[in-house]
Amino acid sequence: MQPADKKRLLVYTTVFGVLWGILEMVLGSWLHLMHFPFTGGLMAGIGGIVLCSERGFTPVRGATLWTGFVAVLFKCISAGGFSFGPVIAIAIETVVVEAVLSLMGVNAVSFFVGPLLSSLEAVPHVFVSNWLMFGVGIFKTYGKAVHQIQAFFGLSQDLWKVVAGVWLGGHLLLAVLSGALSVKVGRYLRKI
Amino acid sequence: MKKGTCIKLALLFFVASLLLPQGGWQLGADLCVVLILASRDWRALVPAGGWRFWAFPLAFVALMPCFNPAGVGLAHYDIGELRGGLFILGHAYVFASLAAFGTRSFSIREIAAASPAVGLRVALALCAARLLRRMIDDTWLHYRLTRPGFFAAAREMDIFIGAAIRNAAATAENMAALLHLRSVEI
Repeated sequence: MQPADKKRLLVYTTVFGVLWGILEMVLGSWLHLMHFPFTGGLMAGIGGIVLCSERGFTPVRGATLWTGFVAVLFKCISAGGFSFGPVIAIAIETVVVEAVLSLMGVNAVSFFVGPLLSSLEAVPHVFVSNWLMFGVGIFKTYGKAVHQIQAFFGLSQDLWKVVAGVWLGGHLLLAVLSGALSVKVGRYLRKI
Repeated sequence: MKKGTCIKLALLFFVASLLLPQGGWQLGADLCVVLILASRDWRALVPAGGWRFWAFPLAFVALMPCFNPAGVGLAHYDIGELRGGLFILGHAYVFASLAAFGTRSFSIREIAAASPAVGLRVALALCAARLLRRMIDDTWLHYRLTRPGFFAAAREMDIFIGAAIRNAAATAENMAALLHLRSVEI
């Protein structure tokens, strides 16, 4: 790699990592204020779009990992300080998108699949973060609480399945939209 | 005990507490984490998040045993369930303390000194953050002025994301050119 390309790689990965961190701060805060549902999945999808766009400018293996690393660093040193959930989410999303882009190359399909999988990370994230924070006993407690609430209000005992289905469906829809948006942004960036 | 050893040992006991079933052994592993952290930096044990953070889980743990298949109310209070809830809260406290310990242990200077590549990135990130923050604020302001409603802003989000990425790429190109012109070695 030429020295000029090394500098370009260093600067692009850093700037896009910071961009992701700032988007989390500006857009993430606005979505939280608006009580927008599935904010985690949406921000994960946007993160995937930023990662794919960066890889479009510097198509080198490992570039996505550096971008994610900078985003994690930025998240740790920003005003909010270290926040376990988002930091782990950024790290996992970065590894997923790097794997997709390394295996499939930089093209419309990987631009769709990368943000799609990145956005879907929000689903297992809820369970993993709850397990880490509260221990394995929390799931039994949640299960019991759901059954007690359903029984207390005289609701169907299978209502939780409908709620879980809507939640999963919402995340899936958001993931597909993130992938489509990524392809659209990729096409737009190719024109400039 | 050295900082690195302390973190490794604390993490080891924390992982053990995650894998152990709820009960005495899990409590023992969590207590070991607390003792290890206290031996190095007891301030990390001051509960993070303030009383508001803990009020809801505490209320949840205290009130849940009132609701039982046998009936609802203090007469049907399940002490075993309260015990289980307190185990969960204890583990959450240990987790918060471990995160606080990690945050308090490493400064930006230490992170930057880890390797030249990391140090250069930290310095560049701090420079880029200022430029990008202003750029994103301007782009967002312009975007929202032309799309005042929530749905209009949400519907055309691709335009905002595309503009932010294009402007970030322009910033990166300028910075890379500057590094090249000034013959900065990497």
